[in-house]
Amino acid sequence: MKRIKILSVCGSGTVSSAMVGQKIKEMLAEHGYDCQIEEVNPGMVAGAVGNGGVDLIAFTSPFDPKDAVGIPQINSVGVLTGMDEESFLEAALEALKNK
Amino acid sequence: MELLNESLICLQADVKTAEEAIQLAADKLFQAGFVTSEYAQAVIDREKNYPTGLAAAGYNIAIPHTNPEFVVKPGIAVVIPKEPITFSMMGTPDTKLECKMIFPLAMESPDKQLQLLMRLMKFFQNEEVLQQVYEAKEESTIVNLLNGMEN
Repeated sequence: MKRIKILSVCGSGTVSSAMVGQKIKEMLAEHGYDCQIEEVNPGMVAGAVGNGGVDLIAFTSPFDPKDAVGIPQINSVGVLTGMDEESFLEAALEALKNK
Repeated sequence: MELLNESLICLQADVKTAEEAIQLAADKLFQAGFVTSEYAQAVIDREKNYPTGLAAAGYNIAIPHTNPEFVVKPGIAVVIPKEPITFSMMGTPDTKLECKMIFPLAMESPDKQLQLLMRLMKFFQNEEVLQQVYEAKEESTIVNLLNGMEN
């Protein structure tokens, strides 16, 4: 298992980010990734990125992209609704393939 | 855990805006002891910045909520408006959704209730059960569907 760190961003860093984070953890485990998930709100992104080690950002609320320059950022609302898990997974695997 | 009771279900609700729907549900959640008196305004303010409309399975829904500090114990209210209500879409606020069901959530910090959040997510992904909620004639039907969602 490759260890990776993912920020899950939602408006309060509570409900949606936790739902999405847990689901992503399950999905990526099937592809050989051991995910550490950190739930944050948009205002916490810059600080969390500054702490280092973030491989991917999954978001259900917009945040300032300048807070996370160089880190792949993928909309994860489709994971929350279950309507578009596949395209999230494809984008995430593509972004993580060199990790 | 009892997440809701019949007093938190508003069928055929006479509300026209997201704010009215949230206020209605927040009043009921407050009266039933699930949230503090500041919850209503906190959710209304948050919805403007971080909207919660979702294109769920077969239905557009919304899950307004806010920070755990306004929550006394975990709960869910249900508002089924007479006519669909416009919410902005989570993640892409410029997209508007006409929502037929609104589920204001009172949630504590995620580490305390990950199982509950995962069950809720499965619930919102199940078109069959959402249809049963939407077509419910009795409050008790919805209470049983939501309280029984772990089964």
